[in-house]
Parts: sequence; C-alpha cells; structure tokens
Amino acid sequence: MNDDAKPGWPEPALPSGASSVPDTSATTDAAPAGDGGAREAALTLEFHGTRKQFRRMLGRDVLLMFMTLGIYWFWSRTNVRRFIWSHLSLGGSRLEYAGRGIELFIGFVIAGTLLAITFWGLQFLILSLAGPRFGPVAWLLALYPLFTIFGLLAIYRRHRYMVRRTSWRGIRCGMTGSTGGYIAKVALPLVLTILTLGLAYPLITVATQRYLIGNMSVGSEKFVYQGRARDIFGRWIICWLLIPFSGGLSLSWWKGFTSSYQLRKTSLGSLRFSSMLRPMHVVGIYFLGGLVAGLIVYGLVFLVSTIGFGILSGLTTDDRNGFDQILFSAVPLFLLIPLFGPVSYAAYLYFVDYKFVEYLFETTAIVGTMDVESIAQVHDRHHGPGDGLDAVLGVDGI
Amino acid sequence: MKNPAIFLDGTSAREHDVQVGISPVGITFRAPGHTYLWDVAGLDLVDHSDGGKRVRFSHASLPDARLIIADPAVIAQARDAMPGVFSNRRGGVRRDMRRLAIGVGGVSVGVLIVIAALPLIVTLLAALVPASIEEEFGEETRQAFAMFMPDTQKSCVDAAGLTVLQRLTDDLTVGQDLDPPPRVKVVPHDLVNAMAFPGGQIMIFRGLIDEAQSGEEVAGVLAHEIGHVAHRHGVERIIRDSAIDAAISVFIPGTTGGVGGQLATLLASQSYGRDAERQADRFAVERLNELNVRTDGLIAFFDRAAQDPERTEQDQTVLRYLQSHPSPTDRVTNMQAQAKGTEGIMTAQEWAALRNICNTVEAD
Repeated sequence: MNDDAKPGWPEPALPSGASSVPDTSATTDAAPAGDGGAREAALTLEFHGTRKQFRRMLGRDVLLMFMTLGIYWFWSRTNVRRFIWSHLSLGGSRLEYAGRGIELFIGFVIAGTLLAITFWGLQFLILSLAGPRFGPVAWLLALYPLFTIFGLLAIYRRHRYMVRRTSWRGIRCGMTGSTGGYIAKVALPLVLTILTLGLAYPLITVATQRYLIGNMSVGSEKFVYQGRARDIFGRWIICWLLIPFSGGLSLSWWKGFTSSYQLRKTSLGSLRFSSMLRPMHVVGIYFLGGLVAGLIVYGLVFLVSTIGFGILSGLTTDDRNGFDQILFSAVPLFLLIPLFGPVSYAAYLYFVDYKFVEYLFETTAIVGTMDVESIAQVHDRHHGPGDGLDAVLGVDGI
Repeated sequence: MKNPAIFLDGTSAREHDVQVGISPVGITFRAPGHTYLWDVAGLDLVDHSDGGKRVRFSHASLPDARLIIADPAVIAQARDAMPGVFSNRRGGVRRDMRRLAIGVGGVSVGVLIVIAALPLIVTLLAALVPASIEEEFGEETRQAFAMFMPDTQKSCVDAAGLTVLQRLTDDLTVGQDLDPPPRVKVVPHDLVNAMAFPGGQIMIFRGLIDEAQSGEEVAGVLAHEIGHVAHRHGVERIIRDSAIDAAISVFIPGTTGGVGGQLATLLASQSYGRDAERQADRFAVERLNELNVRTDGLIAFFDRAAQDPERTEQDQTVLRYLQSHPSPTDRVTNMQAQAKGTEGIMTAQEWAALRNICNTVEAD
C-alpha cells in the first residue's frame, strides 16, 4: 500500500528511550499513496483459526482451570476471545482483543457481591412481609423479572465490554448507549412476549440487534442496522410451534437464522455484509456437537462415579474403620470432581461454540468498497473491571 | 536488507508498508513523516497469533500504534535480537498473577469481614421481623417436623406436671420480657432432646425427662432452649441460611438448589450454629445463677453425654464439624467455669410430678 520505505535501512543506533523523531526528508511522503477514489477498497473477511491450535489452547486451559479450582476460567475465556479475534481478518488486518482475565475476575467478584446482596435483601424483605405461607410464592414471582432484568443487563454489558476491547488496524471500536437505555428499548417487547407466551419474541430479537449494533462503531465509522421484526415473524411462528416437537432444536435453527439476518441487515459505511449461512447446518452443529460434548462430559462423570461406587460397595459397613476407609479410598476420586466443570466448559466450547463461530465466518462475505483510511481513532481506551454478570448468571459461550 | 512489516499509526486505519531494522536495542522503521525508533524498554508484544507466525508490537510512546510482522525470517531475527521482548508476554502473565494475588487477598479479607459481621447484621435484621411472621415460620417448621415425627403433634398434659412446667418456665423467664414469649410443651416421644422453634415454641421430648436424673437437669436444658428463644436464634438462622445460600449459589456456579450447594450451606451454617449453642448455654447458666439454682444438673447431663463412648468417638472424627452442638466436653468446661448457684429448683414431689407429665396425653 505504501512503498515509501527505503530498502537497505541501516541498523539503528538508538538514543536511549527515544521512540520517534521527525523525519524532514520524508515529509513529502506524508500524504497517502493515491488519492480520492483510489482509496476505496474491497474488503474480505477471513478466519484463519485452526481447530488444532484451538484444541491445544483449550487443553492447556482445562488443566489450569483444574489446578486453580476453576479460577482460571476468566483467563481462559479471555484466551478464547483473543484466539478468535486475532485469527479473524478484515481486509487483511486481524482484529485485536485487549481484554484481560483479571478484568473479568474482578468484574465477577463485584457483580457476584452485588447480586448476592440484592437477592438476599429482597428475599428477606419478601419473606418477612409475606410470611412463610405466601413468601416463597411471592419470592418466585419476584425472581423471574429479577433474573430477566439481570439477564438483559448481562447481554448488553458483555457486548459492550467485548466491543470496547476490540480494535482493528489500531483503531478502537466503541459502544454508546447504556444498560438503562437497552432495558428501556426491550421492556415493551419483553412484556408483549410474556403476554403472548413467546409469540412476540422477534420484537426482542430485533430490538436487541438494533441496540447492540446501532450503538457500535469502528473508530469514527458507525454501524447501521436496518432489521425489522415483521421480516422474521413468519419464521419465528414456525419455530415457536416446533419447540415442543423438536426438543428445543428449532431454537438453534432460530439462532442460525437470526445470526445470518443480523449480518444481512448490518452495514458499516458503504460496506454491507452478506451471509450464506444455512440455519439447518447450525441445527446440525448444535445437535451433533451437543451430543459429542454431552457424551464426553457424562462419560467422565459416569466413569468416576462407577469406580467410586465400586470402591464403596467393596467395603463392609460394619467395619469400625469403614468411615476412614471410605474417606481415604474415595479421596483420589473426589480430587477428580473439579475436572468435571472445565471438561464440560471445553467440550461445549470446542464442539458447539467454536464450530458455530467458524461456520458463521466461513459463510460471511463483505460487499462493497470503503475508504478505510478515513476511519479515525475517536474512542477512549477502556480499562477496569469487566462485566461479571454473565459469569455470575452462568451465561456460557464466548 | 528487506524486512517487510506493516505499521498502523493509531490515528487512522491506514496501513503503512514499512521496512524494519532490528537490533538488540530495538526496532527502527520509517513511515511517512517520521523515523520511528522503538527501543526494547518500551516495546511490548501484543499479539502472537498463528502459532507465532505473526506478531504484533506496540510501544509505550505510541500506545495505539502497531507494528505487525508476518515474515517468519523477520520474526526469527527479532526473536534472536530481542529475546526479552518475546518473554515480556510472561511479564503480562506475571502482572496478572500479581493482580490475581491482590484480588484473591482482597476478596479473602472481604469474605472474612462478611463472616465476622454476618452475626451482627443477622441480629439487626432479625429485630425487624415482626413477631407474628416469626410465629408463622415457627408453625410452618413445626408442621414440617410433624410429618416425619407425628408424636410431636401430641402434648403431655398431666395436670400436676403441667403446673411444675409452667412454674419452671415462669421462673426462668421472669424479668426477661421476651417477645415472642416462650410456649413450652412436652411431647410423648423417646428422643433425648429438646428444641426451640422460631416464634417461641419449645418442645421437650419425654425421653429427655426419662433420662434426666434431677429436676435441675430438665430446668437447665429448658433454660438453654429459652436462651435460643431470647436470642431469636430460629429466625436468625433462617435469615443467615438464606444469606449463605445466596452467596454460595452466586459464587459457586451450578450449586443452586443442588446437593453440593445445600451441603455447603449446611456446613457454613453449622459453624454459626455452634456459636448459637454457646450463647444459649451462657443464657442458661446466667438465669440459673440469678435464681441461685445449681448448674450441676445441666453439667451432669452434658457430662453423661460426654462419657457416652459412641459420642466421644464421634467427637474425634470429621463428623464433629457436621454437628450443630459444640462438643459436650467443651460445654461442660465452659459451664463449670461460670456456675455459681447452690440451691435446687424443685422439690422431690415436683420432680416426680414432672416425670409423670406424660401420664395424660392429648392431641394438639
């Protein structure tokens, strides 16, 4: 693109600590090579990640999670995101993910503390006002809206955290809006969805996509979303009717379809996204991937518990030292229990989430051209605690 | 020398193809308008994708700018010239580990503060619960209890025994102004035990009266149960357990409603339960001291429990941590240190009447 660098650049003799010196001889080169329309370029989207590299990284993460009793999960989630970002290139340039495990960990502690206090306080209030007979029912009734609100908060905050820590060609992505703003946008769709027993769900889908994408930008260039709920209602009704008969698999069809719809309705400047994603393929990923991951996880649990019970049944209960024997012979097995969580996390991540992401990128293309060089750095750098609410609520995935 | 790289200046998305010079002191390259000299002290390896076949550097002087090298030969050259920069990534891990240590330390201090402050917070909150609601909770608990122990729905109502029991209760609560007031009944069941429910209900099992060797033993146990009522331990326990439950289900994912979560709540709750038992013991001894009643009855009762060979052996095991009551041996020692009273609490006739209280039983 820019060929003003001179061959045979001498080995540097650096003044201590110096980083940049104006080069008066080169000031005439300051203008970009080429002008006007020549800067418009077509961009490609490519995913360079390989399953082998991802598997190797996950294997190491599982071991570290096991050794740290799960605490490494926050670092692993960051590794996974960094892996995906740094293997995704747009116009030949990889994305960069600047999030850190420690930010997620601190965010989790803060969110967990606030959530525990809120739950406890509310439970205390309800039970001490309503008493034991009506209290539990009132608490359950309060729990649903509470979880829904926290779930919505988690969706927005997780998205914002990831966007704000993403950059492309050194230009940070930005996210405007607020958690309150998002809740205000989805409140009515949510109420309508509850009242219609789920039929109005596309209203939530589109309101969420509009808010999350419409508030997103790469430097000075904003994303635009033009989806409309009425475009997708027909498909949702079929999906909704099929939920009980498909064992929930129609929801993975919906996920595939709405991911593709979201891409097709999104534009960045003069660039548009096209998607060749087939929702049935996504159903396949969720069904087969879920099956394999489930077999691995339950296989491990079955193996450990079978051996465990085998040892237990081999001991006589009237043996006075029976208790100690059980304790000592079962201890090595107890030590394997902290492996269940990490293995389950990694299995679903590898067989389901990663394959979905891989397929999504494979089937996405960028249409149009854009003067990418005009995109300027406008967003501040973000540090500080990550969003911990999604971790507290056990929202899986990437 | 051709060392191709891409430079991103951090102000626009424009890519600059540059040639870099690499030496042990840093990287130098020329982009429009500037010659950049990135020394190793400020150099950081941001990214390391494709198994190290592509590296991205940043420099402290221009935190948003990036220098990307994707040529394996150039990467190898950089690695040889500046090995410290490539191991700097471990510096990032070290930094994370330091922060994690600080984080875990901070969280541990926070948890310790919460554990220490929880009893006080719970006591303050318990004071806010209306007596009527507390009684409802007690009634609910009692009914749940009656499902697996139907005898607790009956009461021993022999007139002479009831008079002694009422007098005993009055003596032990005089001047205490308890709200809710304790309501004591004896139930016809062999269990050697007594318990206090939220809302002031106290249940003494016939087994305990049969097992006791003096009226003072029963009075001591009753004073202990009144101690639970006076301290509102029942409602405190409900509040405390819900706090522990909330914390566990939030911080240990996947435990909500599960056996693991319940077991954890039980274990955490029991340690506070032991404090409650000590508090009730103290109340009992203080009340008996005020009435100038001998505490040796209560002490003897626990002493016999301590002598029980099965019980003593159990105390040596892990199971001890699962018991809500402190070890009888510890309790006897504590109570002996505080005991002052010298008189008996009832006559031989009264004791005989109390022993016969279950001669007449009626359903509640």
